[in-house]
Parts: sequence; C-alpha cells; structure tokens
Amino acid sequence: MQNRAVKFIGDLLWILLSFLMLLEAWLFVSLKVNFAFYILIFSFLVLFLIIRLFYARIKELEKANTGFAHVLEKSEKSRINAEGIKNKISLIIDGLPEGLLIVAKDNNILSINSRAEKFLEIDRRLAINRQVSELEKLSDAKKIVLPLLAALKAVPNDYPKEEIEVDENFILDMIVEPLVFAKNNVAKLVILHDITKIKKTQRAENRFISMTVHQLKTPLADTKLSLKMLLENDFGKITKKQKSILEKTYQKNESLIYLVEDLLKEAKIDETESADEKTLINLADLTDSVLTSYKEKLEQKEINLKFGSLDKKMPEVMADQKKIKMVIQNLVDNAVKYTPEKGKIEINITPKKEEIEFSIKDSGIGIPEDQKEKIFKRFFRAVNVEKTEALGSGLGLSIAKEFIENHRGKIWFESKENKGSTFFFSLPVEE
Amino acid sequence: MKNNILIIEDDEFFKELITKKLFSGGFRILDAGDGQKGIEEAKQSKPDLILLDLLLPSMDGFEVLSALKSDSETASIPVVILSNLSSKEDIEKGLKLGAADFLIKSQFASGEIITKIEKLLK
Repeated sequence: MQNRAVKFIGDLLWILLSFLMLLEAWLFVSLKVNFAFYILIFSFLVLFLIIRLFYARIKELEKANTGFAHVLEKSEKSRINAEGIKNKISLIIDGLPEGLLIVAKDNNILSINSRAEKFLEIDRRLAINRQVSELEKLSDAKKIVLPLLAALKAVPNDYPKEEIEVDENFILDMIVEPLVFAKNNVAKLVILHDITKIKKTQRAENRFISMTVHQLKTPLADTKLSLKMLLENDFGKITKKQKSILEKTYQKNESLIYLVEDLLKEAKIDETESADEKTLINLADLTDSVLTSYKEKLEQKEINLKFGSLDKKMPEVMADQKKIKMVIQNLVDNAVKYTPEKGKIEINITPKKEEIEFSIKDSGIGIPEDQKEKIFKRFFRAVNVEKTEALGSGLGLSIAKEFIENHRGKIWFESKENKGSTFFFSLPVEE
Repeated sequence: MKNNILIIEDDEFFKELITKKLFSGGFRILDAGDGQKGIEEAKQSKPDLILLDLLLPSMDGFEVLSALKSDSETASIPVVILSNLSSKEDIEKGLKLGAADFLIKSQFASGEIITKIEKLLK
C-alpha cells in the first residue's frame, strides 16, 4: 500500500515537473528569461528522473528478494513436511510385525526394518549396502539366513514362498516379492512373517481331529474283529442261524467302516489310502459267497434268483478281493432292496475278449430318466426310492464306482422306471 | 517251543480278542497296557515278536518303537504295528522307524495276522 502511494506521488510530481518544463519552454521562447535558470530546472528534472528509476529498480529487487524468500520458505516447509511424512512411514514400517528387507537387483541390501533386524539378529547399520551373501558372516541366526540366501540366490524371476521352522516355538513364513522401481530396475522385497501362533493352533486342531478319527474307528475295528472271530468259531461253534446273523452284522459293520473312512477322506481329515491288495480272484466264487448272506431275504420276499456262470472255468481276475466283494455286495443289496415281492433277479458273469463282465438284472422300481446321470454321485438316492421302505446312505454306488475304476474297469447300468434295472461292471483280464 | 508274543495295547477289548486269536494259533501271549511297561516287559522277557498299538496313554507309539529299536537288547525283535492310524505318513513313519509291518485295525481280517506273524517268525 505504501509503495503504491509513494509511486502515485512520484508519478504526480513527474507530471507536474513535465508541465513546468513545458511552461518554462514557453516562457523562454516568449519571455526570453535567463538561460542558466532553465539549466538548473532541467538538471533537477533529470536528477529526479534518475532517482525515480533507481527507486523503481530497488523496489523491484526488493520484490524479487521477497519472492525468493517466499519460495525458499515454501520449499523449506515442503521439505519439513516430506521429512515428517517420511518419519511417519519409517515408524510404521519399523512398527510392522513383519520383517522387511529390500534387496537390489545386484543383491545389495537397500533397506531393512526393525523386525527384520530382530529376526536376523543383525544391526541395520551393518547390513545396509552390504551384499546379501555377507549376511552369513554378519548374522548368527543361521536357521533363518541360510534359507533366505537360498531363496534370493534363485533365478531373477523367481519369487519363492517358504516356511522356516527355527524351532517348535518360532516358525517364520518367508515371501519374496518383486518391487518395480523402473523398467529394468526390479528389486526384491523379502517379507518375514511370524506364523508360530497360527501353526500351533493348526497342529492342536489336527491332533484333536486325529483323536476324533481314532474315536470313530476304534469301536468299529473292535467290532469287526470280534464278529470275525465269532464267525470263525473262536468262541465256540456257532449254529447256522447264528452264522447268518453274524455275517449280516459283519457286513453292516464293514459298510460303516467304509462310510466313515470315505466321509473323513471327503472332509480331508483322514487320508487312509487303503492300497489295493491284488490277488487272483474268481468272480463266480465271490458272488456265491455274497449270495449266501442274502438267501434268507430272497426267500422272505419270494424273489426268483437266477445265477448263471456259464462255465466254471472262468478266467480269474487280478483284483482286490475285499473291494470287489463289496461292489458285488452293493449291487446285490440294491437289487434285493428295490425289487418288490415275487420279483426276479438274474446274475450273469460273462468272459469277453479282454475283460470279464458281471451283470445283475432286477425287476424292481428302476431309475427315472432325469435321475440317471446322478446315480454314481455320492449321497445320491433317486427320488423314487423314497417311496420304498429301503434304507440306504446313498454311498454304496459312488464307492463301487471308485473301486471298479481303480482297477481300470468300467461300471454302468441300463434302466427303465417301474420295469427294472441292470447294473454291469467289467474288469480287465490280464494275460 | 511256543513262540512268545508281546502285545502293547491299551484297548482291553481288542487285546482280549487278539489274545484269544493268537492263543488259538499256538502262541504264548504277554501283554502291557502302555508304552513304558511294554518296553520293560520286552527287555525282561525278550519276546519273539511285538505287536504295537500307536495310540497309547502317555508315551506315543512311535516313541516306543524308536526306544525298542535303539536299545540293543530289544532291537532285533520284529515289531508289527497294529493301529487305527492309517495315513500314508503314519505308515511311512512306522516303517522308517523300523517296524517290520504295519496293519490297520479297521482293515485287516483276523486270519491275516497269524499268517503275517508266522511269516515274520520264520
């Protein structure tokens, strides 16, 4: 404000003096006043002009100076701001529960945070700008450093992830990620995460689950053995009727064992991979033994059973007897279950070119068209089954399919609702 | 000369059944209800074969197996694991620690056990 006032007065004076100059010129010309007097006035005018110019210049410089000062002030403020933000970020990075390391493309350690210092038992002042390979000398935490070095020695485009178990009370998860600074400048970010607590919880859970599995399987195993022994007359000779009942109980128990194992496998809790114990088996004999336990039921329902095994000199198959027996039993069970009284069941075993085919035909309720594709799925029971009184978990056919397919065999069926079904399976015969 | 078999198992019912089975197969049975007693009994009576369950009170079956195999007095006795634990890892672990065989309780047929034992004792 002051400057403008001064400038205004200056301009006013300048106008006034210019006017005076003109006046004098006129007076000189018209009145012939003394020449020296004009020189004096003129000099004053010039002097004033010079002072004014200087003054303007000084003011300009002052302004520029203030301008610079302003800029400097601003830039200083920004710098302090940035410094503040940088400190905040540093605090955050140092406060993180993860250990962080930045390793340059040439394997130089660019940065390390507090947690990483702790994990690696190293001071950052020793680590920064050192080669990663020197960590081995610098740190005593060999159990962490060695896997870390191995991970970083990896191919440039390899970003591994690994668990490092230092001891049972300290387990780390190490992740290496790329940090892209510029097109050809990719550094590696190493993240060390303490997963001890998670691991411990996981292990406790697994132990608990194992215990549960054991609780389920123990009584089943005990029952299996005791029934088997009763059947083998280990506790005295048993009557025919007793044998029949015990056999059925044994089969039910066997189904339950498979069901439990299957359910546990499904829940990925138990991984019983009961390996196939392959021996040469005769399908006809196997079918006979299965049928004996259904004799009574067949009589009860007055079902007509026809079992034709064309020649007793049937080729033997290399297969797991227990499992194939279960398959046959499941198919027979279904046939008997879903065939009404006075119905008909026909079983045939036919040797073919490179395989042997088993088929069981019933005159039962059949499978509705829209349910056919789901037949071999776990827990599936066709809608029309609910109308019958038959009990079933729906697990048998899915297991049967698994067993047959594990033997490189095939299992399939043909069916018409209310007319009946025919189930087939084939097993390869090896030369 | 009857063969002695030591059973290290804490399930009383199962032990009763197995004992009966083996007895009728012509074997003499010794038993122990937990790992520690089992190791002591093995050292003392030097059985011809040991049947070992894995889920035992206090001492883990695998620990018992390691202890038996690392003690010169019992290291040569064949150990057959008889357990409900049946994952691949458990079987591998057992065989690696020196078990002669691994039978899964819920899967073996009782006659099998006698055949296997006779084979191992030959």
